[in-house]
Amino acid sequence: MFNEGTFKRHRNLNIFVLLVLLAFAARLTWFQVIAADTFRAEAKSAISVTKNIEAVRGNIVDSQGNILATTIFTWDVNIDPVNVGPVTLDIDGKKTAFSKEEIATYLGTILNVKPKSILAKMTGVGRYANLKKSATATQFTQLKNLDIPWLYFDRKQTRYYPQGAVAGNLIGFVGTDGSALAGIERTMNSCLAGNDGKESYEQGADLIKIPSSIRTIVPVHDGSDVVLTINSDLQYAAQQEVAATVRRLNADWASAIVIEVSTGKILAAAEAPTVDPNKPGAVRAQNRASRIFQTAFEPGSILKPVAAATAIDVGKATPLTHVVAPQSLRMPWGQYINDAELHAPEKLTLTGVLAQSSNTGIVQIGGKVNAATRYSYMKKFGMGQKTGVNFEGESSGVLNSYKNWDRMTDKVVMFGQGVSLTPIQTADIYQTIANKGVRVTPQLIAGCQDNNGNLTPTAVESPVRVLSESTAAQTMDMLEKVVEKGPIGRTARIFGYRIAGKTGTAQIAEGRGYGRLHAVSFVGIAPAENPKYVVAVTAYKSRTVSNSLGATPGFVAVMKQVLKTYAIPPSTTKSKYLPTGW
Amino acid sequence: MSVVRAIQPIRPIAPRRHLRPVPASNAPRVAATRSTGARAGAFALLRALSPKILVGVVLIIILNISLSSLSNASIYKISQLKKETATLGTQTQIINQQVASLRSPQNLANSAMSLGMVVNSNPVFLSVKKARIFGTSTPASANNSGVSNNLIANAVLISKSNPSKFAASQKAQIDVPTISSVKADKTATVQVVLPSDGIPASPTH
Repeated sequence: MFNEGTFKRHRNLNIFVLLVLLAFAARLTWFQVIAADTFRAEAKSAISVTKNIEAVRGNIVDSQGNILATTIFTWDVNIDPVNVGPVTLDIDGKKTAFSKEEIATYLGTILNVKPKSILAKMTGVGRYANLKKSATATQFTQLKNLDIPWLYFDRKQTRYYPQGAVAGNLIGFVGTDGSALAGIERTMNSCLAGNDGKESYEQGADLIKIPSSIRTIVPVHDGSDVVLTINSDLQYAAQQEVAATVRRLNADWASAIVIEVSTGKILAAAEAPTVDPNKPGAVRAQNRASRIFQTAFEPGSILKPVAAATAIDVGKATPLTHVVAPQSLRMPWGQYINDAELHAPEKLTLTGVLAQSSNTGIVQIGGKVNAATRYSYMKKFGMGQKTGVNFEGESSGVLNSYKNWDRMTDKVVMFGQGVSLTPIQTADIYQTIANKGVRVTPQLIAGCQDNNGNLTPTAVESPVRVLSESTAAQTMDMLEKVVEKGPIGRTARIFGYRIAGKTGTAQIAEGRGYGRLHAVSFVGIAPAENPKYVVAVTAYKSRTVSNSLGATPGFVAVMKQVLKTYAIPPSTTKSKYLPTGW
Repeated sequence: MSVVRAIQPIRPIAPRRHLRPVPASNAPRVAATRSTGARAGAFALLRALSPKILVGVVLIIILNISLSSLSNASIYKISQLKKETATLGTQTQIINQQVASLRSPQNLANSAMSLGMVVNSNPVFLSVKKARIFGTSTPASANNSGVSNNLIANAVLISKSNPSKFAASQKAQIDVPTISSVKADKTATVQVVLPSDGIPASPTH
């Protein structure tokens, strides 16, 4: 049937086919075996994506769980100028064509940007132009619904402070890049930030993620919440009062602190002026910080109870110790110590010295205690050291060693000169007196709460006994008389409640001497028979009232709000009888 | 050549095989018989199985195609659902921001003020436990109240740019679900705090 030629042709064809098959097999082996890894990697790189997953920053909440800072999404709105063109939009079910100019006007209205500026960007030749940074969710939704092909969005995290400037001085703020810049945002960044994750996945030509290909490389951990001791309602009420105080006194600034006596928890730390963290740039730089923790100044007469309590604690005086307090007291070396008001020599008890806020009286009684002992008590009260709140940039104030005190400083420290304190340090001193002589570290941050609700409490120092219980009680009795009988102190009375407190009118150091303006303050404790709350109000550089009369209305308003908030019933007992003179 | 080629066989003729005596043992023959039998059995088995294998292979292919098709459909469904989740998330954010703004103390103060309300700085406490009234009731008045008008800044108060009005003015439809369709993050509970030595108070915001 087959001749030799046919046979050879068949054979050759077979050989050729075999060779071709071998070539295919060889090539296949090359693709599938020898260079398989390279091609597999190449193919994978074309369809696989590795993506960072940004951890969501945690919230800052008050003691009631009200959100003071949270994270929301905003969108940067961008366009691709090369592809910009007329758009047909579906409006109320009707397709309508819009020119570039009309679209620019439309976008400008939604984004609150001048249409002219948008149109200029639309007519560019680049592939990218930003129309607006951080557009809101509402603006994003409106734009997204337009479905404009050359409009695209970059989503990003943005901090949102729903209560605005309430506790703004404490919360701080973050930068536009999300970095923590001030306050709790910065101090507690390690708790709030969380850890970014990473995942890889494969996607189709239409950029759809293939679910089975998702592989977590680094798991994402969202940030935890910071729980503050602040009561935001009380904080708001206190801020309202200090804002009104600043207006009334035309002062540089004012502050109000509320501390729970038994725990040292700071329930409110209000300042005016302060910052709205949503717009930190709207206020001057000095108003973006917290003066309560960061600004130290000579406190003045508010410090007299420390000298009095020290004298009682070491057995050198009692609330009834007699002294003759002249208006001006000549020191052995020729210098004078004066009282603020002109008066004839007064026969005062130590109680009366505090009630009248007599410099000459406290210097005589307090001076019975040597400088080293007084210095050690001042240290135990927390002067010259940070409170332990761990607020960023906290000042320790200034308390020089008694060895460096000159003859005059040795005297004036007893009425609050030659030493500087922050408002929180001052409030802390009164917490110690009110807490039966035991100093508790003030606390602003209750702890860090993870996403499962587990709270890691902030470490606090152990309480320190500064005064004996008896001395603290005697000091409280004397401070009640300041409010009952003091010429200014009585303006701090609250009907129905026993209040203890002390006035302070401090001169403000300027250059080598003191300036014309004062820091006026009042620190009060209520109810005096069972101390629960300390309220410390300060107004710095008051221009309309030059004594504590400028601070007592603010104290009364804030303390009333505290007593109302925590439902403290009015007092049912009377204060102890203590004569102020003899 | 062609004649010669014509008479030549296509394949060379194999040399004639010479018969050889078979050994006494018939073992090889038995083996050959067995081998042939096994091959025949295998063929029979293959013939019996081949339709089933064919059906199986076809079924596997159909199953594979179906699963692949279903999987692809699911991928697009998942993608679509993720987009819807993102949209709902954005709408939830808008609503949450509105709620947060409305419940902010600044908004409450402004609203109370607009209704003519003032702070009563002389509250009266009722002690159910002791059956006593603490304090003297005094009508609140603007003169003896504290600061009633809001003095605290809040840049995110929505009253400045009501999103629903804004959206309506732009004729851009925002599919915002009704409040009843949005599940709250936390159920608000009204609790009464009973301090050991104080007076019961509701921690209202």
